[in-house]
Amino acid sequence: MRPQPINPKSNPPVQAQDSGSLVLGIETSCDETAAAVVRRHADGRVEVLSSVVSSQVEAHAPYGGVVPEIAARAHVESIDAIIAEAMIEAGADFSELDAVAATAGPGLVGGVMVGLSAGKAIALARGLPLIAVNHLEGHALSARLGAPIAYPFLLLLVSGGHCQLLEVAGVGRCRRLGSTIDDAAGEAFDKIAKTLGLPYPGGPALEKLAVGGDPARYPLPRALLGREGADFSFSGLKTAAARIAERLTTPEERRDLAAGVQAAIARQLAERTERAMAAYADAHPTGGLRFVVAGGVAANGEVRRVLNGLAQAHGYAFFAPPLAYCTDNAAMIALAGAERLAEGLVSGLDALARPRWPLDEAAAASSPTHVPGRKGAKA
Amino acid sequence: MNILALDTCVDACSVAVWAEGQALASLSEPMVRGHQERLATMAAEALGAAQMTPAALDRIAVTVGPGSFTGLRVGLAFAKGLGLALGRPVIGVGALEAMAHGRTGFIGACVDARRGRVYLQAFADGRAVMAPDILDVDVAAARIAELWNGGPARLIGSGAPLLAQVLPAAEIEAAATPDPVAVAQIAAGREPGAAPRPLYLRAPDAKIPGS
Repeated sequence: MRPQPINPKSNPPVQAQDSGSLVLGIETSCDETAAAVVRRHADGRVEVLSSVVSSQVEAHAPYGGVVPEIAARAHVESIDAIIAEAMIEAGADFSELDAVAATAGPGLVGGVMVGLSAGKAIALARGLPLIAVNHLEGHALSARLGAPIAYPFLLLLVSGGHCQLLEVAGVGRCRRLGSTIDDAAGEAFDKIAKTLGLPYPGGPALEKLAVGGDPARYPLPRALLGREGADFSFSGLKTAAARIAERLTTPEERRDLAAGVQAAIARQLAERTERAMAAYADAHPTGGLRFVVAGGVAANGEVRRVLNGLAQAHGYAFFAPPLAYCTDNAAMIALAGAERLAEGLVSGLDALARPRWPLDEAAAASSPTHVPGRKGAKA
Repeated sequence: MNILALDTCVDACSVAVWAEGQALASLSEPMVRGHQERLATMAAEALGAAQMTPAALDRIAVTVGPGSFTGLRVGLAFAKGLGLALGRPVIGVGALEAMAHGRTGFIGACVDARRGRVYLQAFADGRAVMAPDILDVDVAAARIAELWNGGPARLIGSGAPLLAQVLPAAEIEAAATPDPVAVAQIAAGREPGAAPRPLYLRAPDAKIPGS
């Protein structure tokens, strides 16, 4: 792993002819129907004028996880009302928009198609450019919604579907330093929470249960400890925790296991990130080291605490998106759209909805450590 | 009245631009999947061929099903986006009524719903004699036999061959899909109301754990 600067000229990203833009963002790739209006100023400053998120958690809770057909049905029922709400809240008219950005994947494709189709329709109706946004790129940029973070930066993207370390040099310029070889960290949180009998979504419930617990009570495996590279693995932890959970009886025992699991996940994230930080620092000897953690798991207090400490110890400035932008939202999609628009990266009305779409496509396809699925690399 | 009509429910992607009682453009491509990629460009092509701007539209008409779940959602989401951005009403039209539109005699509009079932709606001289429903093939056959008035009959749609033996005298037209011009005509005669909702007729495939 020897990261090289991808494009030294990409920082700062602002171009001379860039006069700023007003962009509508649409996000429907999982179980949140979301729309947002974001203004990006010519100097790169970002203002979120509205960010509406309608969660379907209640619809999926009885099933213990997201059911794709139920999600798609909920998206199409409310997509127009959510977009209308975002426009009204922003005080914006469709005639004032400069572009429409919609998530085009990766995700549950039935839902992706709903948001992307609505976005295409608005673009056609108003003669606006459409920007098909990679959901992961939205997460990668989400910290820029809260602070003007310059490129490049080291990113830990950690959510229910993804766990990756990336060097981000700008839109369309991400390079993977490591990723999970089995479950995502958020998936581990959710699945272990389920074995502890906690309601869906399990991650936040597990964090609550862990408060005041003894994380050292139950020995848990430390996957990939000391291993080269910056990959992750959480399936061993999941299995071990499930075995322990079977024989627990008291609330204190469950609390301590929850604390142990949370600490183990945070510890692995930190250990693997530390390796990536060292390699990234070697590749950026002139300094200005920035570390960003994004994705739903970035909302976890213990994870934030541990990573913040790590960043400080290694001379990195630490950034995490405001909590509202950690989980799925459309403001990050609008921002990715606005940055793409500024670079002239727009899509056609024939844009595909993609269930699988790695951020660093070429690298993902040829990665020796990640055997892609039958249909190619997922993300 | 200017109408853009869309259908993505039944094995085709179809768009028509309709103005003052007349079709200015009508495009249709057979398609089992891929509606999402094609619909927007096809709508742009149809508007271009009709020399009409989106802003000149008075209504958006769209088939709401029954049919492909993914297809009907693409059409409905696209129609809702147009309606919202243009400030125009969206009118929902049944896919089966669109297939039967303009035909006389007894019509059984029938789409294969797979797993031994069909989507069915029957019409007598242009009037629906039952609501759209999803039925086992043998139940659908019994409904057709019961509703048939004895006159000339036609069974249309991908499910028609499955019901052919019920009415041996009936003509079979298995390739029928909703004509977007018919979708526009039906929508022209409707009062705009609440936003159209999808007509799935089938619950999602999902089991509550432990049930």
